[in-house]
Amino acid sequence: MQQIAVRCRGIKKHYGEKENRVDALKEIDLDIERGKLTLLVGPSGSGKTTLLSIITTILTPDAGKLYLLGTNMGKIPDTERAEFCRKYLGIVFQSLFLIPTLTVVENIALPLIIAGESTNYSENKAMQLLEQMHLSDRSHSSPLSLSKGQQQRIAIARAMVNDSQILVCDEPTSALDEHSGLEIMALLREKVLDSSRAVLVVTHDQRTFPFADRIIYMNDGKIVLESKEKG
Amino acid sequence: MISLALKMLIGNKASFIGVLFGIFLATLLISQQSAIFLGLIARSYRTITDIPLPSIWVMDPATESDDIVRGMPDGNLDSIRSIPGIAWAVPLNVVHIPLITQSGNYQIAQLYGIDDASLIGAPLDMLEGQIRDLHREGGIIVDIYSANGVLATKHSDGTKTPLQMGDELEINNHRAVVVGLCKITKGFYPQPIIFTGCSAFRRFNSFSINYLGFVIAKTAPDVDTQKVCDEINAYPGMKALTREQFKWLIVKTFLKTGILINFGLSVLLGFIVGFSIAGQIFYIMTLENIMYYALIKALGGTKNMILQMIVIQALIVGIIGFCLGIGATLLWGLAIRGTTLAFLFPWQLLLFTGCIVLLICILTAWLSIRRVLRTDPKALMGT
Repeated sequence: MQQIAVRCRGIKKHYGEKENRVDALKEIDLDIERGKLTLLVGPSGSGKTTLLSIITTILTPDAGKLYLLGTNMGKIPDTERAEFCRKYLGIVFQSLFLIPTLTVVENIALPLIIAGESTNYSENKAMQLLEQMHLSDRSHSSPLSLSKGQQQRIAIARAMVNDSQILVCDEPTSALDEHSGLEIMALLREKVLDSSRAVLVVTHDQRTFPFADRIIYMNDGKIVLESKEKG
Repeated sequence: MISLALKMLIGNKASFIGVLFGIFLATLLISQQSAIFLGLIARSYRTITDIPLPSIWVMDPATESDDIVRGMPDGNLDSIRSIPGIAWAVPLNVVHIPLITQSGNYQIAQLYGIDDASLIGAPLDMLEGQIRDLHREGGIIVDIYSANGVLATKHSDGTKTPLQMGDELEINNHRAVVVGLCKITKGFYPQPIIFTGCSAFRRFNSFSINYLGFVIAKTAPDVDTQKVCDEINAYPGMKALTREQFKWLIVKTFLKTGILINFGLSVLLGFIVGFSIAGQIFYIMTLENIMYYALIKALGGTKNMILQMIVIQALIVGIIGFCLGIGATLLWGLAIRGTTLAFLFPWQLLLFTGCIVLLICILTAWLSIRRVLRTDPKALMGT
């Protein structure tokens, strides 16, 4: 099994043109390993969300290469890329985007249903994750009836349901109080992270740092510092 | 994906009901107004509907309907009978004629003079009396709607006694006796419809002694009706039409009144109202869900998948709204049955309304699809 889950080489990205041009990423080189919880930190505008968008293939880099699980994403057609992401990638968005007209279990099962799995199989798989998250009693509730912390757990379960090997979280603690924030980080560390999965968290919340195996600091579109030891 | 599309559609109850209402209203307006229009059109050719036996109608070239009839010379009947392929041909006279009821009211009736010998052209649905009683002196058969309505005897206390068998009327200063009551297809005008024999017809209407209104004829089996019509048309002063051709001539004459434009505008209004309501609410509903469509894209959903979801949603509201609208129209049709209101709902109207509702659904879905396909999962990041 390839140990490097995400490999970025010379990734560049800019927004706007001429006098409005902003270089969001300036030749980023980065490797993210399986079995590690990596934090991507930095001030607003440092380029961390842009880098996350490129890693999730939502954005295409202007230059450079992105390898996910050893596959060069620039070399495969759009349809295959979508299929690849559906199989191997899990995303937890900052605003979660839980669909309010679906129940909790249906929200979690969504990636599998999109992948064409049967509703039965998808919801059974979702139920297993809900049990791990200690939320099985809320499986048929509306996500709107849950607390912010519970909603965050549902979003994490949705990102895991396809057995994703790369899981990325965008500011998972930003809308949570200290206790819930720490609970979510503990969950990511204890239930989500395993030897086959790489977890990448974008954050600027310093309370999360003790949970990381590795912290990458970004500023002005560049990686400026890297802490390689846990804590 | 179908269940996901349905849940996203039904989950937002207010919007769902709003879109449904739009489609329902469009279906109701379009199908109901069209059914009334078709009902009125069918009334315009009620004579042809109620006299189904002849395959050819012969008339003066100036005649365009059974309402305003220019008479032909009597001798035309023999000319028509002599044409090869004609199985039988009989006279049918039609005229608008004044009459005075038992209570002294003045009315204009449509009087049909049918062939005394064969009685072809007599009403098919007799409620009281026998057709052969038309041979009695001054014998007439009256339609039941008029017998219960304009021809009923009005009393000073406001009550009415329907016209009955044996009652007398004064037709154009001649005494007429009711020998039968019949049920007919209602006409466009609420005038009394009266049947009598040709000889009595001539007495009632002294101007028609040597004139024929129509000759109705039947071709022999295996004879091309159109060819026989062409042969009759070769004679001067005669116009022969098949049953369908005469029906269309009457419809065309009727449409000159501008009724098609009036009802067409109602149908157009139904389309505009339905599309405005359904399209707008469906679009707003899509906008409310736009981030979830972006999410589906981000989770690996393809454009086709999202397209399918929106089309399914539009079709589901279309089908439910259409069924409710058609149901309401049919209920309305049932409710007005037996009244003077016109209503005709052939299967073609179902198809016509279905096509317009489908068009509304396509336009509604198209508006939303345009917006959804422009949505980029980028919008999900950093928000």
